Amino acid sequence: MTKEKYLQMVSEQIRCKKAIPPVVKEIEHHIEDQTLSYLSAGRDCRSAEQEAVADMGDPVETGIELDRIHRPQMAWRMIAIIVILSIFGLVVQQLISQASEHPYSIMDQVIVTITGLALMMGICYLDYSRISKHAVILMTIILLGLFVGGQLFGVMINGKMMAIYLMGFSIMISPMLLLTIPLYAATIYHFRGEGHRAIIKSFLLIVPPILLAISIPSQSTALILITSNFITLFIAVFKGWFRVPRKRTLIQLVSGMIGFPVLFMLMILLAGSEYHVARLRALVDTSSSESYQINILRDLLGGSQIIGQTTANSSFDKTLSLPDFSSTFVLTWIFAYLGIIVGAITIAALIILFIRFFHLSLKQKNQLGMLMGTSCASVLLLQGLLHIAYNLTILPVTDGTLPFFSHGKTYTLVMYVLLGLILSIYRYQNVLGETSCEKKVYSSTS
Amino acid sequence: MDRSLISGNTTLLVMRLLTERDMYGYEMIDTLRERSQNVFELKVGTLYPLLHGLEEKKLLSSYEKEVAGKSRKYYSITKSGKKVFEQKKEAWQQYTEAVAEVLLLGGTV
Repeated sequence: MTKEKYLQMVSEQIRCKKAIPPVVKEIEHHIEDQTLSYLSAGRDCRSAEQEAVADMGDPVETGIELDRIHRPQMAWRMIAIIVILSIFGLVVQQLISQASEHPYSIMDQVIVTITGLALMMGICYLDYSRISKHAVILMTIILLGLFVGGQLFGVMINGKMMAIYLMGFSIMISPMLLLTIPLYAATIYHFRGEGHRAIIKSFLLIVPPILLAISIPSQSTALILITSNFITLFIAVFKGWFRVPRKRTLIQLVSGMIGFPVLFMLMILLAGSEYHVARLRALVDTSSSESYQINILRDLLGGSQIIGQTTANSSFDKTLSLPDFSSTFVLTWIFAYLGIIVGAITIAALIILFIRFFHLSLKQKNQLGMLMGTSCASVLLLQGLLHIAYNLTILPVTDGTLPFFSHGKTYTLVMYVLLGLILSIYRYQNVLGETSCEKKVYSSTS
Repeated sequence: MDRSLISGNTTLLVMRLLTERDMYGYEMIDTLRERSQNVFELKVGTLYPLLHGLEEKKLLSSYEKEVAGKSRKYYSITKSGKKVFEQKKEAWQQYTEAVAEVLLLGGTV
């Protein structure tokens, strides 16, 4: 049997076509090595290859065994948890609506959640590596679309350029910006081995979405963008992706990570508008008028019961008048209305799920999957942590949402896109066979 | 030698090799053949599904490295892989000792 025939027969047994090239490449190299060995032992060209192929054994048997391993797999347990959390989120929205002075229909949110879940499953079945091929174009389209759309069709809500209103649809700018995070990861994946040039390009690419977030202005979006993208860049450097001295570059990156926000805050203090300066002061001065909402939140949490509604009834009524209480303050609402146990379970479930996503992504051998997965997981984790922190008044009040629980169409759909990407990475982990780059070469230079 | 004696313990042999250093598939087969004086001649049909299966279970990890202009897929044993190897090795030692005991006992009867 010839080498080509053998490889063809192995390939025919593997049903997932995407898994074939790396598997075949590895076996082909093996046959070539064995052929060379027989040639050096004095065999002629033809018999050397034939013997090498014979050594391989039965191609059908090997192919069937490899097919069993290299198969897409669905993360059904994770999908079940996502569905349960989505339903619980809708129940919370319904309770908030009922408690409101003017009950509203949550049918919109139900439809968006079902659409989101369908979108998530669709993306899960899509091969995420296809998205990566067009990452730069997609990122440019999103950023330009949001910038131009904001200029032409932007809608100001509470003094912020929050949404684009176009053809009867309202698209929120902040959550759309979060879509650039996995695209950023896919873009820097293509800078493999480019050295310091890659670091500079990767650093510069972080800036445009952050500038857009600042122009809204949205503190939480800017914070999530900068942190998630830095985490992705940090991991890429740590894994030796750019072939630069690791330790030195990581120190430089951490300095940039700290220095960049400090510089930004200084710029606001020196040249920012009154509004921006006031927002910045609220970060350090919780006794200012900005902390009115914090006081309500503290009252509510202080009166929270183990199970059931808070004893701080006056604050509870005020909560319903807080802006976006069904979105920005949804966790405080859970503590105040359903009690400490439900609130604590909600926090634990979300944090455990997102840390699991992060950990799973980080362990991916496919480097594109690893970078994109960790970036998506870090967005969800940061969103959750930020929401928890300011709802529990650990951080001053800001904007932001809680995955699965906050009300909002664009935000909900974007969350399911991110979840779909993570599930797709999990699904193809034994199929897309690209392995990590060699690990020991660059550590010696660090 | 009876092949069934070898095939059941291929995992143990491969993991043992990888506790020494990272290797690619052909290198493993070649090393095993050399060390066992041609007793252990694994079919590739056994080796690659085994390696890929161990990688799926996170007992091995892999990376690409270019050697003499050729890209090789190197395997290395993970922390959990080392633990499993130790367990398998212990089980194998117990088994061989038990077999030896019985054979020895058989010889003295």
